Amino acid sequence: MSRPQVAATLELSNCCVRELNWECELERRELSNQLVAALLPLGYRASNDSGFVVELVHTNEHRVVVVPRTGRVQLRLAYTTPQPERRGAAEQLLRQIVDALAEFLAQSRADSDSP
Amino acid sequence: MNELKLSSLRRYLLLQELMFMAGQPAVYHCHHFNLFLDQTIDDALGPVQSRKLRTSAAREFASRLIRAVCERVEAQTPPEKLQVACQIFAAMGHGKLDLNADAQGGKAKGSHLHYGFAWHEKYGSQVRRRDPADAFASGFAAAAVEVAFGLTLGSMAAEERSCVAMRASGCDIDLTPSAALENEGGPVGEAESKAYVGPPEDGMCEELIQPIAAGLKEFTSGVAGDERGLVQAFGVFVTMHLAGYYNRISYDAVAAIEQTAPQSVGVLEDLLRESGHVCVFNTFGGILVSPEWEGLVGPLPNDPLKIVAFCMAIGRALGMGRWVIAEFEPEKRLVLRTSSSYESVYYRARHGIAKTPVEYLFQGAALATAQLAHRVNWTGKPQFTPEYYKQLFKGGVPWRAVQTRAIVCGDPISEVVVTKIE
Repeated sequence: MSRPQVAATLELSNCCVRELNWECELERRELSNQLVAALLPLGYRASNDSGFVVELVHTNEHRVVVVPRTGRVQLRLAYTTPQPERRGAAEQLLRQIVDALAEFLAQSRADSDSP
Repeated sequence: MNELKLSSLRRYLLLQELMFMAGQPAVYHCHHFNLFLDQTIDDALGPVQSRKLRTSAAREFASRLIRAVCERVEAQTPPEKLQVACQIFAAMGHGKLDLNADAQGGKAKGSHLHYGFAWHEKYGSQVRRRDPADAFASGFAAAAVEVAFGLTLGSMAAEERSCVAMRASGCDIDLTPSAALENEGGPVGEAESKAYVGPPEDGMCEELIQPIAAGLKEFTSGVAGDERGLVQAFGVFVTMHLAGYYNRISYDAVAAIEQTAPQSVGVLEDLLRESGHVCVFNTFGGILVSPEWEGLVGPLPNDPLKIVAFCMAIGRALGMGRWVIAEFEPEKRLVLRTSSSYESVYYRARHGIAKTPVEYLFQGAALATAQLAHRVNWTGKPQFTPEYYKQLFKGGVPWRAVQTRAIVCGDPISEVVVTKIE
């Protein structure tokens, strides 16, 4: 069985600190609904339960913010990340998100296929 | 001693949108405003005199805050009071202070101090700074020791010896006994705030503004410093700050320049207005494009009136006053009013009636609101970078703001008329 493909692009986002915030544009925005469940097993915990955004923070202090009503996903790097390393850290975080979502979708499909 | 909880110490003056922290006037501002205003005072007075004023202002208003909070949480011993001071400093997003001092002085060690850290992030790669940036933390540390040990205001001198803004690895503040005692100025608290506000009024789009302002207030009630004492919210570094600090450094600097270089007062006033412009353009702009805003309100439209309304909601939630839209004609004219502002409360309480309208932040804010409404393409994912700011405003601002009514001058409300320059 082939693993589901997840595609996403990375784009610099507005932030008062250079290169700290990045937009993670999922090709299928509806997948953002599953992102929280996909990331929780990877060391993330919910740090904001305001209802209008879900903010997940990793033990490495990078954050993933999901807007449930629009499917927007923003990556917020730990502000201690040195400036020259920020783009690389954002790319690594994007890869983690894409892999986590693909894995989560594969697992969900396997669960639903099992008798 | 009771547990210190920031949200239980914060309250708003009903219908006036002025905020208080343990009874002390407070307001949310981000590092764009904080750095610009401090720099303005430096430019006006020179680094030495500026640092002296900023430290003194921080000491005065931090002293009031620390005393009020200690009373509320029933902190009684010096170690308890020092602990409360450090906790409140971090909770308000100013960074982490470690105080190792007694009545004879000592040291304050700062890490991730808001001013130094933010200055280093914003300018550190381009500019070499020669003076420390953390006068606010220095004054706060001095006040903490004075309150903890029952010392008179000004009896503890504070001098920042190393600062991350000067590329040091940390911030170190020396605290030494001083004979230069300071007089506590007249009170500027809740009672004065109630005395110097006008009748609250509604303006256009209230049905949009009021629920958003309420939602933002609820959101910010849960916002406090992280483990390093910094607050990142809406994609900006935010501080809950003491309004008295901003007001005293602004109005005392103007008074000093009136004495020493009266021909330069206009320039200083322009810079103080510009600090309001910088604040609203960058911070409000950043809030509007943040995921938190999108979640609370929805995607942004290219609708100038709605953008103005959103700015009113943000201003109210941040504790800047009951900003209302009195008139709006797209691409031509915007009239903002307020029955309350932290500037007018302070000015009336400390200085009485002004000869000219001196609500600099409100003036700059009104001008910036018109720019956000008309000159930003909100559906094009704008980024509020220094480059974008320069690109938009390098040739000046094609709008003019005139304050036509002012609480500081004795009017019941303040009003700024912003018109497009034809």
